[in-house]
Order: sequence, then C-alpha cells, then structure tokens
Amino acid sequence: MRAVCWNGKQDIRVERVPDPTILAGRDAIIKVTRTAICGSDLHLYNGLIPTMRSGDILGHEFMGEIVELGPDVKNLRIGQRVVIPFTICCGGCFYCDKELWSFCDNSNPNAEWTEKVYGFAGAGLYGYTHLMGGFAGGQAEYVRVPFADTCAFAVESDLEDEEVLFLSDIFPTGYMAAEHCNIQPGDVVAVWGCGPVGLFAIRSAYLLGAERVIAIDGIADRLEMAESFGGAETINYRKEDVLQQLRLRTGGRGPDSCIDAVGMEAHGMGFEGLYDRTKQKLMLETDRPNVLRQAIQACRKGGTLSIPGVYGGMVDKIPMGSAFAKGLTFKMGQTHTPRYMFPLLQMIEQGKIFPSDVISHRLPLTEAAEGYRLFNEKHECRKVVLLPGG
Amino acid sequence: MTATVGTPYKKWNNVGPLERAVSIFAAGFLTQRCFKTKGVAGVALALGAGELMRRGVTGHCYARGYAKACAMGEAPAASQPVIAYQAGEIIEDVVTVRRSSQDLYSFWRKLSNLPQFMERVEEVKEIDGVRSHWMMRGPAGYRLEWEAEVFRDEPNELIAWRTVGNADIVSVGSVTFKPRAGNRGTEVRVKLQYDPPGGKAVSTLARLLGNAPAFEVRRDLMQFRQLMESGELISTQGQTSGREEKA
Repeated sequence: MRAVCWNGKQDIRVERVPDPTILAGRDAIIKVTRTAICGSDLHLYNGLIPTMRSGDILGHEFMGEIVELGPDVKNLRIGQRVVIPFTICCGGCFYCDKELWSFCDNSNPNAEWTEKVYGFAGAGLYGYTHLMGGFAGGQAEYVRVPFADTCAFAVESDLEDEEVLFLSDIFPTGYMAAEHCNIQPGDVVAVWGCGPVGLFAIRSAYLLGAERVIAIDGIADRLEMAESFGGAETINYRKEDVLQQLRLRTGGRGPDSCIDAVGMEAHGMGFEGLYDRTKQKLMLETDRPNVLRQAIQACRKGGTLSIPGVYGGMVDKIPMGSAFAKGLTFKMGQTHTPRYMFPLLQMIEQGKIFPSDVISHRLPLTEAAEGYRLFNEKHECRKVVLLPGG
Repeated sequence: MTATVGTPYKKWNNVGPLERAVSIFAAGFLTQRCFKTKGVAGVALALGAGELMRRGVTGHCYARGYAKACAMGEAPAASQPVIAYQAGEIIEDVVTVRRSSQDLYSFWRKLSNLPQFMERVEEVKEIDGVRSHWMMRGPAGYRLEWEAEVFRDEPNELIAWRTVGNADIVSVGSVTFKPRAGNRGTEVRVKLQYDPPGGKAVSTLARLLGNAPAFEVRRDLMQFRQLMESGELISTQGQTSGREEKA
C-alpha cells in the first residue's frame, strides 16, 4: 500500500510499504477513505518533537471502512464505516473507566520510556513519535487499529465522510478546550490561533453559551474564517496590541477564559519572538510559549486558561507570578476523544455545525508532501484532507 | 556467587567496615562508662557494650537482619538468609490494577503464566506446588536458570519466593495484592532482593548499559496491568513502516 512516511525534518515522502496486518485479538484493519493533516503534525514536520524515526507512517486523523477484524472484536463487522479517535484506549483501565481516555494506562507500548520523560505516560497515539507508542499512522491506504472494539466509532448516518472525519480529533479537541472554560452566561472567551482547532473552539464556545468570542491570529484569511465560520470578533496581532485590545473589549476586566490553540510553535513578535527562536535553535528550550505568556497576562482574575495547543517539552519565562496573583486555573491535555464523538455527531446531524467548512484543500494521498508544505506555510491553507483513493 | 538455603551463607555480614569500627569504638566507650555507673543502668551499659563489641567483631547485626527479613515478607527467624543485608540489589515497585485481588493472585500464583508479561523470563515450569524451574534471557544473550521455592503463600494477599540450590541469580522476593477502597483496584507490590552475577560492579555496568533490572521490573508490572485490564499486551512489533523492505 501507499503511506505517508516521515524521513526527517520537512522530508515527507509517500512510499510503498507492506500492508498492515492484525497483530492482536482486538485489532481491526481499516481501509482509509479520508485522512487529514493536523496542525500538530506540523510540529513533527518541523522536527520539534523528539523520538520520530525515519520511515514512520504519519497521521492521526482518519476514518474508513473495516476490512479485517481480530478474533476478539465482537461489536463491529466488516464493511462498517468507522471514525477512529486519535487516542488509543484499552477501555479497561482506571482512566478509561473515568472517561479520561487520553490518559489510558495500557495503550502505549513504550510507556516505561515515556514515564522517564513525563513522570507518567499518556495513551498511545497514531503516527506521533515513539514516545507516544510509535504506532503506524492513518495517512495511508490501510491502517491497523488496536483495541478496535473500544476505539472505533461506527457512523451509520448518511452524512458525508468529510462531515464526520473531524470527530477523530480537531472537533472534539476544540470542543473540550471550550468545555474546560466552564462557560457561564455572559462570558467572554478569547481564542489564540484560528487554525482548525481554534475554529472549532470558537464554535464550541458559542455552543456552550459564551456571549462573545474574541479570536486572535496574524493571518488575514484565518481571521476571516474566525468571523464567517466561527462568528467571532477578531484581533490581528500583527496590527493591534492584543493585551490592550482585550482590555478595551472586555470592559477593562479581561476575558473570563483564554484558549491557547497554538501551542509550542507560536510566532512570537519582536524581541520576545527572537529570544524564543534563538533558545529553540540552541536547544535551550523546545517550545516557544509566546501565546501562553500572553494568555496568562490577558486573562481576568480567577479566570481559566485552556490549552488544546500541543506542548512537548520545556518552556521558559512563564509569568507564574501573574498566574498566581490572579489565581488562574489551567486546564490542558490531549483530548478524551471518545467522550465527545457521539454528542458531537448528534450536533452535526442536527445541522448545528458543518465541520467540512474548515477544509481548504483536498489532495490525493500521493501529494501529501505538497500538502504538508502548503499547510506549514499557512497562507490560504487551513486544513488539508488527503484522499487515499485518488 | 551462589548461596544455598540450609547452609550458612558466607556473606552473613550485614554491617559495613566503617560501621564495625564505630561499633568497636563505641563498645570501648560504653565499657569505660559502665564501671562509673551504678545499679541497673551500669548493667545495661555493660550489656550494650558487649553487644556492640560482638556486632563490630562479627560484622552481623541481629536487629538489622530481623528488620530486613520482615521487610521482605520473610519469616523473622532468618538464621540463614539467602542474601545478606549489604549484598545484592533491592528493587521495589508497585502498580494499581483494576481487578480484584483474587483474580490477580490466581493469575500470578499459576507461575507458568508469568512469562506472558515478564519480558525476559522465557519459561517457568512448576515442579510441584512449591518448587519451580525458571529460565531467563540474561544480558548479552546469556541464559540464566534457577530453581525457586514459594516459602510463603497467603491466598489473595501474598506470595514470597526464594531461589534454592545452585541458582545463576540468587534472589528472594515477594508480591503482595492489596485491594484499595472505592473501586480503585488492587495494589500489586513487588519487592525483590537479588545477588547480581559478578557483584555490584557488574550491576552498575548493566545499569549504565540500559539493562537496569529496576526498569525491567517496572515494565513487567506495567505489562501485567495491561494483560489483566485489557486482555492483551499492546505492541507495535510486526507493524508496517517505511523502514521495511518495500513491497
């Protein structure tokens, strides 16, 4: 089969590799019908998260049709259409039982190494470094799904694939980010980053009852999307002073919640941006936390900082004094995807949201390298969907 | 470096050289004091001095041996310990598993199950209800073998074992199963003391080379949890990638 392989920094190739096979009783093999490049894949593309190996198959947003099942899977059948959550979950551990699916104890075969780095290991992820389990990803014609009986989410309705594909990651991720804000009537939510997760966070904040959402980005077409798809008011950080604008627009109090939908590769401005880029290049810092700093500074007293943007390692110069003085609550982490798939599918079915609107590019799988390049440059490229069939 | 239960072990010593010197010195000091102290206190000092002198000269501390034996879940009367106090390495680790202590104990007590989650253990043959034969892949491809006996067995709570005869690795260990309140599963705690072949130097080297037994115990316990909670061991072995031969 064909698969999108990582071969080093900004070196993506579509290669012919052996078809995946059933390796354990609860496995399934999926014929991929749609897969997408996630913003977090760009951290791998840019070589910023360690423990990738040359030849790793990328991709953690995918859906498809079941073509083969392990002997222990009883609740699925061949031919069924399924969306696969990007977090692999066993369904039997303390965390799965509590629906904290992305903390699954048993789905990362390299957990004992991950513990050395993070203290404890989260769930295994598809195509996202060996620290996260080293699973072959879904930007391929076929993919192996472990614990399919727990993970695979069957979609029976006649919605188009592209309407349900994003249940695999970015819609639940944006939704959980908004849910973390514990939105009360009258709340103003500020969202940094108007990529796909930011857009879903904006929509979700409204769905959860926010009075206003203020979106922050530096790219014109993304800000336009934040207005048209999200219904947010916007701040262009390249033209306006973000902190001052947020104060002016929130009656001088600051947003009730701040969502960092950017993560470790923020485009810092001025001296601060240069400082972090230099430290990252010198490997004195792995992540560039400009957005995190700004969000801490902007948030109202007693507010919540919700972080769906990915951080991988060490950050520097975090204004902890400000966070402490204002008694902020921090909520973050990988999305507990399966918890949200059914309720969000219902929202799609009810026409409350049309996820496919965030797609800007549809490319055949064979042109994945071009897709990564376009997405990394960001201009006019919001979300790339890859079609394995053509 | 082997020892046999039933014959006195060479490394009966459990007090280090410096501590022995201190013991002897302290004994001398107390001897001096006991002549100047009257009544019961004087007798007590004399007895204390005697014990310190014995401890210093023989290099064995009864209190410590007793404490150690208790800590290992062993019967206190360990007059012939498998491994003396300062010999060998000690590992302790624990995982909480979302199953009943009955289930976990039963699976573990059937020793032939253990290679399913102990990565380096190739085979455990149960000879009878107490004794078993173990084969393990050691560092650099060496195969290590030993015979072990279960010397304490408390259903659903504790299993303790020690090696017997000419073992390639002399060890003593226990696993306990302790239910936690509030449907939080069972704490599975392993304590292991073993005498590394080649002594401390080799075990330090092995640790530097990444063959740290503590790490292996951790991984095996996590795999035990995987097996008990999800019914299988998660693995990527044999999965496809761009590294393999192109199809």
